[in-house]
Amino acid sequence: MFDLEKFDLKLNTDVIGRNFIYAEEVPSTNTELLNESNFYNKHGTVLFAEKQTEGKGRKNRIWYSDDQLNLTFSILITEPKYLQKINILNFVASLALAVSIENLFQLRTELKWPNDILIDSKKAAGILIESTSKGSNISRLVIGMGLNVNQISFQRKFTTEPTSLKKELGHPVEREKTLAEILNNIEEILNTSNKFPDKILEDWKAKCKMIGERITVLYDDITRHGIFNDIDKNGFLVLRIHDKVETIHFGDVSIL
Amino acid sequence: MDLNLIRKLVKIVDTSGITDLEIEEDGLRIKVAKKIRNNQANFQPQMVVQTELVEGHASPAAIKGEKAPAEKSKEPTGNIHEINSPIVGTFYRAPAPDADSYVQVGDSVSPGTVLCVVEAMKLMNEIESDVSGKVAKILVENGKPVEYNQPLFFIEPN
Repeated sequence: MFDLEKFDLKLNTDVIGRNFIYAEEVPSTNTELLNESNFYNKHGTVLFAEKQTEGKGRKNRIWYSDDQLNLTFSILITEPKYLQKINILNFVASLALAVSIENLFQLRTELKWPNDILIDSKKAAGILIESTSKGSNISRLVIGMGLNVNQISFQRKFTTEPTSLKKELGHPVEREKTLAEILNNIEEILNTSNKFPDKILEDWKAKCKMIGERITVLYDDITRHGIFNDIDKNGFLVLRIHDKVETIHFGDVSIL
Repeated sequence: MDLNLIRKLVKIVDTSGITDLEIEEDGLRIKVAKKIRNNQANFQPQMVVQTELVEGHASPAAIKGEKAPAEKSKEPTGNIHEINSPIVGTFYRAPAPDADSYVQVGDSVSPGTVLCVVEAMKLMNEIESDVSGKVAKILVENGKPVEYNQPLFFIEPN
């Protein structure tokens, strides 16, 4: 059982998670929070669920997570200053997860473009950001996060082998303080991103070991081989193929 | 007169199915029209740009295309409400590759009707209509990259 008091003691934010909703079960924390008819409107609201019956990743892929063992939650962003620069949010979120894991557990993390968090080359966490636009303007956005904490067996086949904090450390981990640490870091990095977006990208790049490597990018059944040159100011992957460069908006990246 | 504005209008008409577009702002009225060849539906536009000062100055400014005078279109010009992409990314007309499109040309939409998704880096942005009306034109093909502020849909408001 998630102990709200323990969590609250460690939460050190002004905004993020100050409005906190705990749910036993929802179809998807992202969908629930993005839907305005549910009346969650306060910027920084966090919806935490012990169980998601329709947890998801990109393109309706499923996010699998055993009940009660992990952290699956979403953060609502409605402040216009963040909605104008949404590309940076991917990097804010993944950096916050990586920094939290390193601070609390001294595990070395690696970031994989665009926003996976790896420990020892295995996937420990994923992020899915969804937003809604009314006409030409983004009106609300949710950052969905899933971190494998105390789950140790993963039944299915995954493209990147999964892991969890418990698996890496050899002992169980307190979810309450982990979630509080993540939200504390998100708030801090989010504040920085507004003033110094370049710093976020630099910090992110420092944790991405794939830059400079020969990689394969798979998107929409197209495969591209090349050198991971850089990420540009929008956060897109710059792929060098011989003497040409291509900008990649999305895709699954792996080292050749 | 803002030449860039005219260039933008020409581009919008050029890349769309509409035959003419007329806007009026601060006393300046600009009409951009393209001539449709009678024998084929797949029209390459011949641009005719006409601008006129509605009030104020006596010197009427007119940039004329090479030959064709502006043809009166039979289509109602009406108001066209434009939906632009809020982000750089990839345009999708359906939630998944095997799913039906959110909307087709001619469909009625109202505020809140989902029109498309634009994706960049696992960031899925669902775009809803903010007006009631009919989908007049879908300007981008499924799966194609789109730029920030690129027009995606023309909606004919009710």
